[in-house]
Amino acid sequence: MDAGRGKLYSLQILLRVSRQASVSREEILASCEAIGADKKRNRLHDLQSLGLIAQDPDGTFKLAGMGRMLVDMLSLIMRLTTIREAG
Amino acid sequence: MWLVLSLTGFALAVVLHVFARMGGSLTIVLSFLSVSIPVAVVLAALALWMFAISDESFAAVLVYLALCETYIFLFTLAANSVSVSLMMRLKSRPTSADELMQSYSTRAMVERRIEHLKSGGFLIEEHGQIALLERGRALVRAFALARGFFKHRRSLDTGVAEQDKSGQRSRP
Repeated sequence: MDAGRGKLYSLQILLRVSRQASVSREEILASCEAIGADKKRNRLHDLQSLGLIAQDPDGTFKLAGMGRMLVDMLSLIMRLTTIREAG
Repeated sequence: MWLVLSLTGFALAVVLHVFARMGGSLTIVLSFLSVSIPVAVVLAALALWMFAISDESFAAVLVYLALCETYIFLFTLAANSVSVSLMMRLKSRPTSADELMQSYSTRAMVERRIEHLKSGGFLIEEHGQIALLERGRALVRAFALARGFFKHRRSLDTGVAEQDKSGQRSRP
């Protein structure tokens, strides 16, 4: 899973800013956005490899048993810690 | 008995954290530390009182710390993970890959991280320009040291740098 990778995004932003005295928000967004699209597809593939999600014959993705257990547990933790949105 | 002490301490820390999150202005990790550290001190004192200096005392404290570390890992995972976010979107109904990609805005995700870095004192934004603060510079230096120590050839900013040059996607 990628709790650490979430942090890596923050490191990417810091590294991007460190290469110049200052950077506009739009520049950071533009450079990270394209990478983000790739990352999401890779994460989807990783989740499928780990057996947390499954793909139906019609091409749609759904949670597998383990994935649903994990999501239920994390949903409870999110409620306890008042985290509004994952990711 | 020592295990009951650890579990009770952990449950107490979680409950106190719920209240700390309701009214506090601290970040999620700091607010948990602000309640779990005092609980750890009380738990250690109780363990010493009940078991003196023994294996049970050490076990009670270490199991409590392990539970707290796991809890911190899980809520930071829930808060930051791209994978968890994708899985949450699958909770209600099966979804196609394209629909998933569209429903989860990368822009919003990056915006959120910029705001976290600003509130954490790593970045400053003035007149639309973002710059590193000393804390951010220190983290970048620490990261460069760690990268050198572990001899990572490929750096995290490779993707960004390559994209800046070519305007194409790359996987960091």
